[in-house]
Amino acid sequence: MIDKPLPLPLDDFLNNPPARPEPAELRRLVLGQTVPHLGRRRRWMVIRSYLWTAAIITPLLLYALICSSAVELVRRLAERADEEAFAQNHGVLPIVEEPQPAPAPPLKEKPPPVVAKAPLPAVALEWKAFDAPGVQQSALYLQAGDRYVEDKHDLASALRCYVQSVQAAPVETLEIDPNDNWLVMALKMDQIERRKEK
Amino acid sequence: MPAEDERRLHRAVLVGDERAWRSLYDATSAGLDAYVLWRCAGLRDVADDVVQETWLIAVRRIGSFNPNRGRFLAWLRGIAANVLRGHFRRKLTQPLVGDAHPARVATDSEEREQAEEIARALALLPEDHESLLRAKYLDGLSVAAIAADWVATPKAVESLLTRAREAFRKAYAAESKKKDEVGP
Repeated sequence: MIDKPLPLPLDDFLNNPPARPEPAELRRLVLGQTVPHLGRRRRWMVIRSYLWTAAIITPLLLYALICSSAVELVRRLAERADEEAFAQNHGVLPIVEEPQPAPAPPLKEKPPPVVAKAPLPAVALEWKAFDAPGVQQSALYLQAGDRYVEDKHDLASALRCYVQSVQAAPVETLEIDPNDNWLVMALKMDQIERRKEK
Repeated sequence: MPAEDERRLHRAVLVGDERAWRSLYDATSAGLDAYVLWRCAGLRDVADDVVQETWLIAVRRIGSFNPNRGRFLAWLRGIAANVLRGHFRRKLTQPLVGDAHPARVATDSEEREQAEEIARALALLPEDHESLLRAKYLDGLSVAAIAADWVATPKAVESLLTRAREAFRKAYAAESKKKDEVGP
């Protein structure tokens, strides 16, 4: 294929392409205009990372807040339901007392049982035991277990409370009591054995 | 600059590293300047303006550059080609650069008109024709070297070169005719 000759300007352009050394002034100008954009980019990256962190953490915090509020609400509803059920069964409304801190008992004596002025339902007693300090806890759990058996025939919940009572009891108070039911006796004996092994 | 270094610098620029940006600039500015000057047919004032605008667009859109798909200079050339197309499409009543630009003052008006016609003709060429002419005449590559680079036979490259020159001639003739029709 034979090339047609190009017009002179084109021929001149192709055979003598324009060239120049890179202008220093242009370089200074371009860098001066473009480098500030990098600073903006850095600041935007920082802001974006904060936003992402907030976007991840905020739902988790809200979830935790909702869960803790829900737990408290369920607990109060359960207490109220038990109180109302107790009132229906016994014709009295239990008075929920604030726990009285009992004095530390002498070693050889059993700690005096904490008795509410009016009988409390099992669930309320169990919660009270949960929040009670050391020595009182064992007696309250025992009472809660007895209440589960008497009022609700709920042996599973009673067992739970008896186990807590026995585990929380100081070793001196683990003697079998004539008022203990067979389940409490068995748990106490088991606990005594365990502690001896230790 | 090796491709791996380019990728590393690109990652650094994405988080706002100024030194990385300057390194990228230093590695590619001469190549971009030569390309733009060629595409402007030697019109230095237009070339300066196009180079400036290209770099500003590049720094704003640096996030869209993918180093796995091509080299940084090739990406810059793509931006510059778009800027040039926009420039020649605009009906300029005033020059982009002031009349006081030294290059503009020094250029004879007929010479300038001719250069503008050549630049517009280049802008009208298909991309493969323009890049082939550039490879041959600006980069000074032989037909064999171009064929190796383009994964083609030398005969195919020669044939394409002939077609590119013909297209260039026709585009230039069309631009000259437009000028003659419009008048001085």
